[in-house]
Amino acid sequence: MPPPVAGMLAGALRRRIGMPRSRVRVGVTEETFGGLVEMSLRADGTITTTGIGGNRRLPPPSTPAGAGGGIGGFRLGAVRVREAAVGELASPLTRILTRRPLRELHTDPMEASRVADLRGYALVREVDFATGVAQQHREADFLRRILGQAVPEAGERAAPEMPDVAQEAQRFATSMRFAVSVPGRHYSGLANEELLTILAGQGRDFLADTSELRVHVREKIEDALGTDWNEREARDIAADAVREWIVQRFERQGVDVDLAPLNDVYRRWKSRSRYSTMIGIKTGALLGAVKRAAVRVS
Amino acid sequence: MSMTVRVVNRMQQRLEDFARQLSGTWAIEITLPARGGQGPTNADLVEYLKDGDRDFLAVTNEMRTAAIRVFKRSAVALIRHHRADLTPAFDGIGEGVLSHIVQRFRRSGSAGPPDVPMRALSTEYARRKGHSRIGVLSGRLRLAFGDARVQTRRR
Repeated sequence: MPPPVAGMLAGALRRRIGMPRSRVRVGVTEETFGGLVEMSLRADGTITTTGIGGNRRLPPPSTPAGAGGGIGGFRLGAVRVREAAVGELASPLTRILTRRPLRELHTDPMEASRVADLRGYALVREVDFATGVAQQHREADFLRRILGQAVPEAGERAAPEMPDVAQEAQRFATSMRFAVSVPGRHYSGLANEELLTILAGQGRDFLADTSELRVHVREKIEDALGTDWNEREARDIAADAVREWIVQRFERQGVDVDLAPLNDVYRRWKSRSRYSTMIGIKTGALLGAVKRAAVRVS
Repeated sequence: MSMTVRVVNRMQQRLEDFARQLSGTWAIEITLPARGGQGPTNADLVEYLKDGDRDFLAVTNEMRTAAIRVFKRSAVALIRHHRADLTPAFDGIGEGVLSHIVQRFRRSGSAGPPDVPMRALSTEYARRKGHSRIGVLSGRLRLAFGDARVQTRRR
């Protein structure tokens, strides 16, 4: 088994973009954010990834309420924004765009703690921000080219195999299929499921399968399972998480899907008739049914 | 005791020791890329939203949890790679905050993001936008946060 090469890759990228070693990590996507992955180069030249993941049971749960995330004494002060000066963020940034699915990987010092999940990417498009030149590579060639320049760092050794809920949760959340069954009949005479289909046809797809929904599922599984992966338990947690997310779409009016607004006449009529003016909610009967929906995850 | 259990215990001890250093208040400064051209800057837009009781930078328990989650992952990764210096994991606090803010823009509905209730848009404005999601129009502000740089400092 060859040694893990995540550090080598990071080292190569550090040298490549000329940044101090303590400031550079490898890659990120918003979608894969949170999934720490180490990459290994096998003897046959294929690249495999292994999740690292945090240990949800650490540190011990002796935390004052509201301290955040289970670590005592931690307080988050004000978060402030400022505008970058001209050119401040522009160099020396290399942005790598990938296809299937379209995501962005950055190799940039700001990406501390974020490590790329490179599984499933066939092609990599590399844009040199300094010259604006874009090149397309096969992912494996691209990584091999970077790794070829890398020198193993002192103290970097193969880590022992460990249970990795983060990796499993990521795999589960991205590959799962789910079906939502909202039984019963709406007072309008339509079946609840028919009504949801009509709403979807109107640009109000409350049951949409989105990446945000899957991120929510992954986070729920990770938070609930701690360090011990259990597929059956993950399915139950995922079903609850999907239902919870769909309910949020009603209650928070969208969250991750765009809901076509009601037309003025109907909205005014709802208001005059003392019904809720929220999209998809009049008396709340459909929302009540959705809260009781059966979600099957496979 | 198996090898795995011993390793986990050792990691746990080290992470616990390290986590104690987290005590205190941490300030986060996010540098947004310049918007270019005329008109308000990205930072102006954030302030404008905040003035309208739509504070996408609000510190909530969910934000704290996100920050800690990334911090833990960073620390675990460093420990697994036998790094003596774990201080880079503190950058994870800012990264977690930044990611959480991006998620707020992604998940913002007509009442704002899940963890920050916001005043709904006026009907007239929502009609002009075509939807009622708060803080979402062209998506450029969210992308600016995606491209932002973050600094984490103990206060």
